[in-house]
Amino acid sequence: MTENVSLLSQRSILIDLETSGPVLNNLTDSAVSCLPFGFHVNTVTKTSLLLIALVALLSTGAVAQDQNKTVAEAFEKRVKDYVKLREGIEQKMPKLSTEAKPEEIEVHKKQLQDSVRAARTGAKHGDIFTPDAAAMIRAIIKEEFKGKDRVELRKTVLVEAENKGTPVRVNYPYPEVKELLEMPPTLLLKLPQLPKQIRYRFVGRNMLLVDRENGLIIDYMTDAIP
Amino acid sequence: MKRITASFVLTILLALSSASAQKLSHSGTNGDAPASAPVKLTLPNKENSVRFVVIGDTGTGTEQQHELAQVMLSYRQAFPFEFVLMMGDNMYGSEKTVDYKTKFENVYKPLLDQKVKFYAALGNHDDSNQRFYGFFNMEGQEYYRFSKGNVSFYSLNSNYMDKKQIDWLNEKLAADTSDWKIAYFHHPPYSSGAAHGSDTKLREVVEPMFVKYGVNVVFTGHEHFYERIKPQHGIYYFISGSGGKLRKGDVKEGSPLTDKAFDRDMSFMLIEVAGDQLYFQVISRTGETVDSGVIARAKKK
Repeated sequence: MTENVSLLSQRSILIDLETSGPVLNNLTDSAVSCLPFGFHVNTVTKTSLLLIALVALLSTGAVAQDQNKTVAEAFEKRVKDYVKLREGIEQKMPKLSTEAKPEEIEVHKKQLQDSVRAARTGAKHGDIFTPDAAAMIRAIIKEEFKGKDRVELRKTVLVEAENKGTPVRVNYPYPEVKELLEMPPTLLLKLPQLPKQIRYRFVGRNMLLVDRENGLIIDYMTDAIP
Repeated sequence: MKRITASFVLTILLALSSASAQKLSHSGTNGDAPASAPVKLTLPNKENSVRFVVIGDTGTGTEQQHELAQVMLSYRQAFPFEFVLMMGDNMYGSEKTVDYKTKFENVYKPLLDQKVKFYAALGNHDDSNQRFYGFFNMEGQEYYRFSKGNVSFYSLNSNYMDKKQIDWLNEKLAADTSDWKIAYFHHPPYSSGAAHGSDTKLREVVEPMFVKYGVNVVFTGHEHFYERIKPQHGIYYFISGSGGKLRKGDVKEGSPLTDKAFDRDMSFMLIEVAGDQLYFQVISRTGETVDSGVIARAKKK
């Protein structure tokens, strides 16, 4: 049985339903049951509805993907802007040797910390983790950690971690005495990529951006752990 | 699996009973181990072998850490190891200048004076700036490679295994033609620890690379005990994380992963790579040998 479909679309699709099988029919039956009373639908129309829904779903996914890409790129740019600022400061400081003494390491870290803090006095929560970036990252984490993995993550970050009570404040240092919780590698592969100087870190349900050299909390987002 | 069988079939032969023990006397004076800790070496101590120590989770500066360091020093008289691999958590708590002294330099001063080199990995308690510290020989890198004789060593940063590091590791391993490839880092992909356990997310990412490129042995820390894991996919995993801290009784009894474990006291590992054999001996703070054996590397076909 081959028909010309014309109910919902002027661009007709020729489909042989005899080869499509009962599964397709069952699927479309439930879909068309939502249509207004008296709306006549034949089997070919059902198929076309399904296809239209599929196309709509795919294009929604594509749009979401594009949006995520744009959000990720903007987020990465904001992080790079921070790195540019701190690199400019670091370049004016004496370079730390790869055979440094502890006192040299301590002085260098403190100097870099103080200078970057001074240069970012106006920095505030959400400057880098803007609401759209935070929403995207929450979705990535939620997707990565499901079921048993989520239970494990919550146990590691919220129960076992030795970084509880860490004050989370933008442009303040992450306390040296607190644990730097390991970031799950599988998650790092899915999050927007960061320059080598910047690290994602979990503290409680927050996700932080921390500068690995001066230890400053650059920004943070709340409710990161699902 | 086929590839592993073809290139690196490793077999392990416990040498506890067969190894000839060398016994040395002790004066018990400054720089030596306590008289109650007789040195009993089970390693062959062959000429031109690669000799080193594995310690982890050291950075406390406690009396116990000092005592363990003394035992290491004693063993060096019988087994002149050239360097030490550090599994991370090199410094707990603050990391001021004084901490580098009290938690590392003072503890291992006799070894540092004897020009023993330390090659550190970073743990979850370590500031990234440790990579600039001269005595840790990290060359300013959080992850790096070096080689000794026929052995390649990969010091990794398991605290932050991102794409950059994975790409670097893939590239280095692919080009590596060494007989032995040893990776070491902080978090254990396999562990019978009740407090932490296996780091499965890390394992998911690193193990396929290890298998693909024939990494033979993996040393880790994080868990404050010693554990030798049953070989996994042809790889020998060891945990040596009681160099400064001990989590007594933390190894889960009857764990299917355990080949041998020791969680009653602090310990370190002595390793000797001689040709196609890697010998190991694990020593406790009281000088007891708590595990030993040899891993034989099958010749490449």
